[in-house]
Order: sequence, then C-alpha cells, then structure tokens
Amino acid sequence: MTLPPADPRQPIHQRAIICDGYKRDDGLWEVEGQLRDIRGFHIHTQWRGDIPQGSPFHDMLARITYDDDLVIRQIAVVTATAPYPDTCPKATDNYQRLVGLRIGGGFAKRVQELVGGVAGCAHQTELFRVLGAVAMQTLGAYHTYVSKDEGSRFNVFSRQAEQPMLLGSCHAYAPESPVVAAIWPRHAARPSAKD
Amino acid sequence: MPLSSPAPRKPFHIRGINCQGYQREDGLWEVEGHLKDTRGFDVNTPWRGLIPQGEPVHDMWMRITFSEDRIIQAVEVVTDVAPYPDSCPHGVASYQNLVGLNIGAGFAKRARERVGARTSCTHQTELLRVLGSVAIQTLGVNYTHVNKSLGNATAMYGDRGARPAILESCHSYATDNPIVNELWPAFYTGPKQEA
Repeated sequence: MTLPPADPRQPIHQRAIICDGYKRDDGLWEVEGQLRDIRGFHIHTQWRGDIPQGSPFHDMLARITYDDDLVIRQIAVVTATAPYPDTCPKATDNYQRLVGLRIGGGFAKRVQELVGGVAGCAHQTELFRVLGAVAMQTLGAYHTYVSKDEGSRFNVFSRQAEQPMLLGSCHAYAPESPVVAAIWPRHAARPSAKD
Repeated sequence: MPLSSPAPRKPFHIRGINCQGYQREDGLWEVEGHLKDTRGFDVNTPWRGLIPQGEPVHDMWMRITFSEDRIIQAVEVVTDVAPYPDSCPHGVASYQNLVGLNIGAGFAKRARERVGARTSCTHQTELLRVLGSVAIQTLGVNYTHVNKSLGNATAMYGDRGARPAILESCHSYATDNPIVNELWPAFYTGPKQEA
C-alpha cells in the first residue's frame, strides 16, 4: 500500500536523507547520515554553472560518535556539494561545538542554538536533527532486541523502569492504549485483567 | 568527498527519508514523503512476529497539499508498517488538524501542538518536519529557477528591494558574507570589495 494516486503534477525538488546507526567495536555508538537534494529540471547558477537534472544540488554528510549516555564524543561533517562552493563548506567546523552535548529531549533546540542561523548550514542542521532521532532509536533497537538488558532505559520492553521513557510519547504509548497495558501494566490508565 | 573511514562497527538501525516537492497542474503545490526504518538484525515481537533483517519496522507515507501562500489544503497519511499494527495506524487521524496551518517559521512546533503527542505517531511527525522544509524549498526552487516573476518571491528572496526572509538563515546568507553582497548588496554589511 502507498498513498492514493496523485493529481497531475510536475516534480520540482527532491530530498533524500539516509541515516545508519552503528555499535562500534570499541563500545561507542555512531550514527552517520547523508542528505541529498536534487532538482526536477536542469538549472544554471553563477556559482555552480550547469547542474543537470538529477545531479545533487546539496550533498551533505555527517557522523556523530556518542557514548552509552548519549553524550556526543566526536563529530565529522563534510559538505560535498552546496550552492556556494566557496562559502557553505566554511560553516562545517562550527559543528564541533556539538561535542559534549547530550542527545535526547531538547536536542533539536540546543543544536539550533549552537549552529543555527549564520553559525551553520540549514541543511546540515536538518540532517543533525534526524541523526538525533536515529541515535536514540539505535540504542532502543539494540537494548530492546539484542542486549534485552532489563536495567537499560532504552529497552522498550523492560518491566523494571519506574517511568518508561516512551510512555505518553505517541498514540500507541498513550496510557489508555492496549499496548501500554501489555508492556507496562503498572502505567496503564486502566489496569489490565492480569493485574 | 566522503567522511573518513569508520572505526570497526556493526549496523543496527537504518532510516531512510525520501521527499518530493511538486507543482500541480491546478496551481496548488504538493510535498510527498516516505519514511522507512529497517534493522541490521532479525527482530521478533509479540505484535509482528519475525521481522527479518532488512525488512521494514516502520514504513510511512505522507502527502501535504498547500497553496501558493503556504496554507495547508489537504493532508493524506498512510502507516503501512508499524510496531503495533492494531494501534499505530489509528494514531494518524489527528494529522487532519494540520489543514489551514501555515508552513513557515515555527511550523514544526505549531504542527506538533496541532497533532498532540498522545494522538499522533513520532515517526510520522518527524516525516512531517522534513516535509515542511521541502515545501519551503520547493517554492524557493520555483521562484529562483522557474517562475521568477511570482510576487511571493519578494518575501523570500527580496528581489524587489525588501529584506529577504532567507537573510541570516545560514553562514552563506550572513549579512557580511560576499554572497549577500552579490545577491542583495543593499543588505551587505561586510567590508567593501574592490570593483
């Protein structure tokens, strides 16, 4: 299934973001992303010359290395293709300001404060927002399905958590949801039959 | 230029977001996005059974139709694959509350308020945030490279002498950057360059 058929239309702009989350052999975690924009037609600019349809207009790469506490240890940023080749890549060094920052609640706002506006690149910053979500999901995927560590707050199915991190975060994790009754019965709005 | 060679590591979580911006034949605009998450290992859950490595754990679609003045006219949301098949797809009705909302400054925050945490899907909302950027870029691409005579281009790029909204949004559009001197010399505040 997908969306219903679209009305007649012409493609103008296309954005693709791919992010991978890894566990490193040395115990640290890593998320790595690429953001690519292409235009639906041939364009020409005084800074880039001809950009044929399908060639990247923006092509940005970033890697965040972080620890078990979601604290950023290392950042690597590459602006491979940008509209102003002599100036856009100069913003990338500022992303080192994110080293030491903790990924989690308020991350997107802190990123905006540190590298938003003239301090950064609007597209790299967007990539970092997505990488922040993927960093959390990588720890969640690992501790829920691989380590199954009952003591980890990232293990969605842990029954030990005083306050499950995801409780109330979405429709499925709303206190009245049957999913919450099944996985965190203590936190269900109506106690399940088992309790 | 790619990032440096990574340290030894194993992939656990892979997120792909693909968005397209269109101009419709009836004059409206459209952005359409697809978010897909896969895992680097087999997952088994009571709600989904076995999900082999590489098969989606999240697979979601969204289409936003908007007018020239960036007001949302229609929203379509489809959750094809989600962790809780009996619950997650019911969390998308709230996205109809986005109809009438203006896509622009503060969009992500206002959109989150309209859909509500417990009545929405975290991943659909992330897709929505990226679609907001792509909507603005789609209009921008059109004003810059296709139909340069549109009135709204004035607000975004200031080509009639008004202060461009995009000014100071990034390093290259800082008022002391040489790019601003070339594009909008009236707003350039850096050192004068020899002619």
